[in-house]
Amino acid sequence: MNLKSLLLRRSIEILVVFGIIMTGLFLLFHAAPGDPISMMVDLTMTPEDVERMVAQLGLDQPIWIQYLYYIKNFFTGNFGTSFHYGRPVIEIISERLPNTILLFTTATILAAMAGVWLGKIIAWYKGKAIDTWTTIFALVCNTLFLPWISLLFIWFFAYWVGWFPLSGMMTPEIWVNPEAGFFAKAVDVLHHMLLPLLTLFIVNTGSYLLIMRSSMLETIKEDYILTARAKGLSEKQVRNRHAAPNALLPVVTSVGLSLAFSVNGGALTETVFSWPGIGRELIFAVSNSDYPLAMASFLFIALVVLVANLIVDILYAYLDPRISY
Amino acid sequence: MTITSNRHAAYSMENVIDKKTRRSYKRQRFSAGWSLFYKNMVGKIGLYLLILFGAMALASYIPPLVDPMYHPMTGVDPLISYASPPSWRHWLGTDNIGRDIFSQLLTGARVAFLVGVSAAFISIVLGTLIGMIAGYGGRIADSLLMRFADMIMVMPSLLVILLLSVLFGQLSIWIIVILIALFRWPAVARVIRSQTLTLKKRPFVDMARVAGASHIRIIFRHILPNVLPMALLYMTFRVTSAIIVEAALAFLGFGDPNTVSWGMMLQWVWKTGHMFQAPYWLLPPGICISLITLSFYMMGRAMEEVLDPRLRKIQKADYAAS
Amino acid sequence: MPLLDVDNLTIAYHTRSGPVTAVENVSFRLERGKFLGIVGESGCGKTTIGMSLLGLLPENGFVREGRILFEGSDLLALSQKELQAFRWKKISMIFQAAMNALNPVHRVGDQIIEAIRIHNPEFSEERIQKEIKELYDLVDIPEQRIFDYPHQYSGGMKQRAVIAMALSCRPDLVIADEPTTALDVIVQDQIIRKIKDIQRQRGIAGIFISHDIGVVAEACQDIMVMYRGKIVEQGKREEVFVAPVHPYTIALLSSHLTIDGVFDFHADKPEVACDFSPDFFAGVCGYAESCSRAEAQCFTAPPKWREITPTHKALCRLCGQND
Repeated sequence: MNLKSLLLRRSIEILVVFGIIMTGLFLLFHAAPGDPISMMVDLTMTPEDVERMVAQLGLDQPIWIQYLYYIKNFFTGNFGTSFHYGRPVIEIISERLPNTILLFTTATILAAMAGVWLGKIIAWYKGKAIDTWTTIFALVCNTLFLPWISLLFIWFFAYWVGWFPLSGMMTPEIWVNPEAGFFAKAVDVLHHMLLPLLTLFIVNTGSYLLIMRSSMLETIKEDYILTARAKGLSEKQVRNRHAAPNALLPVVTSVGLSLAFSVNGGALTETVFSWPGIGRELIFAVSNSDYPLAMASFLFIALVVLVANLIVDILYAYLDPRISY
Repeated sequence: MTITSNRHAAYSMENVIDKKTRRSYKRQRFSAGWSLFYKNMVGKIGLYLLILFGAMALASYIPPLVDPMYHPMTGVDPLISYASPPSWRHWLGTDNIGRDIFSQLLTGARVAFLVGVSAAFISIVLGTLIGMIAGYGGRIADSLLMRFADMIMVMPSLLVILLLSVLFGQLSIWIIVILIALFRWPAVARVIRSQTLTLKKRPFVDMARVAGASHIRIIFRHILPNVLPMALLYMTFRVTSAIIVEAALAFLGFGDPNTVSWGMMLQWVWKTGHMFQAPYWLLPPGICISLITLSFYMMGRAMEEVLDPRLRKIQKADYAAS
Repeated sequence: MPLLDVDNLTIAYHTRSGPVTAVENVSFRLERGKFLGIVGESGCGKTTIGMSLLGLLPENGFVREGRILFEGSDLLALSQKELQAFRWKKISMIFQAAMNALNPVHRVGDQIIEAIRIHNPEFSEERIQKEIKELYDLVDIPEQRIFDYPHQYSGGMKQRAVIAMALSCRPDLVIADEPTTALDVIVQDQIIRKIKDIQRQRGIAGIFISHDIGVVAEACQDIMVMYRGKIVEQGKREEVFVAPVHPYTIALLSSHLTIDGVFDFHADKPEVACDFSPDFFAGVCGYAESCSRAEAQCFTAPPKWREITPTHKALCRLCGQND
């Protein structure tokens, strides 16, 4: 199959899935007890504003018209107004989404690189003490309860030792100060980001390590590994040039499959560290019954997961010549 | 030689060999598997940890009997109304309103088992059924069901359940269990499906069909026994993810308010601002959640090594999603 | 000095229930430019012998006793590093299943170049390009296919590419382990022809491992028949095929129809001599149970080596009664 048609097919699939998710959400919203108008529109606004919102969201129309409004509003970026912030939802989301992507992709990429690298090496020592202990250590990291380890890290690194800020993403003084350059701001964000990053990194690295290790152990049994050895390659060359590129393929697949699960973890981490991301916003909105914000955040998170899946597919096709050529 | 040929014999001579011999084959296979499992350090640690947690869950009935103030939810020490460090009276200290942390911790084990095992069981039943139907049922059923499974798989389950709880109000522990199960079956279904696909081509299924067995009979009598080990293996992985999701929900304040779970204990520490002052309160529930998931996970990995390695290869990629 | 001298080689595998012998007291010699065929059913230890020559036994395999001399130097004494330099440069291998012997994520040409580059680091880029073009020419694969991926090759092409890879460092000895098993008959024939051509052109020695006696008959001058880890009969091709002595060889040959046309082993059989060499084995004949000619003594006493001609011998107690 060639790469273009694969991408086209997957993109269409993703659109369909997203359409189903949107529809499901709409149906759930209407199946829920309570008046849709009071759920979507903040009734403490002035009556004219309420009326304008109701008209904009089509809430006074029959349900199928409302559905069309809902779809149209998604594509025009109109999600109503957040009860809590009193601002258009789309503004809040466009502020939060980049923060989530920054934290989440950095953590995922770093953890995947470290986990794959460690798993590759550790598989070569199968049965030795170092393998057993690394595997157990990785298992422990992998099963650490994320919110708890986040709290522990905050307690230890931020409160006790004081190396990192307790929470948030920026120090207001630096961002208010007009003289602070881009560099100072970047360092500030990085300083805030390190601890949540470390948390996600530790937990994810454990799971990537375990997958890569077992994938390597399967790959080592293949005939081409024997060929590579027979050719007179050193063990390191066999491992890096012949075993690792093949062992990577199932790892990439499982990264794609586990993305949704890591999004759960991402949202929890954001919440505990008060990282202003979209996952925290969703949890926050849910706690405050801020329906418009909660629904829009959810849709965007689903979209992020789907797009990330598409990226994983591209990566797979790039790594496996059987797909892209 | 021994294990495979025994199994082989058990199939081909199903009617010739009397029941007693067959049982002894089964016992042999079991004891061979068990010794392999027991040699595995990871599996052994996991098993011991699980026994410990099981004992905790059973012991959770004792403290309220000793003194009503040890009741995990309603028992308040009349002398203490603040978070107090461990003492003879309260082995792990008390929370901010004077409830005993140790008895809460014991009750948490009960809830974790309840949630983990029942959610895992439901998702395994669902996943196995759907997987077998998809694998056995031919192309249309297969692609429809698997597309559906893929779709559920890309949904962040925790966030969906959160969203449901905002739309439908406070969820009870059983609704949470069912919701978790509904979101965690697809990985099981994928594995069972690929196994069913290979089983379908095996001669004994053809024989059954030629002999006039109905589809239902073939699925339950011939395919199910063969995919069952894999399903049980997956159950251990499902348990871990169910416990984690429930703990996370409770941690965020969406747990069932009528039960104490470890996640809820963490929420109380966090929300009451005691995380910096009361490590004796912060540490135990987190350690318990992490260790119980670890022990199920370790059990699963050790069981996996015992099971036929050919079964394993199929689901290499489905791992992380568990 | 023979190119390869294997002396009393015994190889075993560690298993959960103790060590299991896979190859027992195997001895043979191979001269430069000659082809030796090893025939036997699967699991008889043929492949284990091949792997031991490259020092590539699986982790649980080990040489219990014996020597492997290549050009007079002991292979078993080589260090890991020396072994790596030795592999492919001196002995290379054509693997059983070509579809799996090539790494799916690398281009075929690159995999061959990799071998050349490792053993000939002094080669310039042009020299390497020239070498690989020659190799592809030799195995009849068009040049423009050099840098395709394995999945773009047909089965026969993959097999030929694997042969090209085996020849890439101009080795003295090539071990071909079931080189044609997975291929259809016509492609099989082409591959065998190719191997014979190459043998003539380059004068290399070879060991041909196969369960298919027809394939071996076509390519090899010397034949070894193996059963359960032991050599049961060895000799020149004509000797073994025209006058098989061991009942297992006979059974193997009569089950193979195509041989009949090539060698008529039922015709005038030379007189079979009956001098046993000194005891070679402990234990009774492994074939006795399946042997149609077995006698009571086959189940009680070990079989003995009989020399039929100076080059032809068989491991069987029966004498002159095997027709």
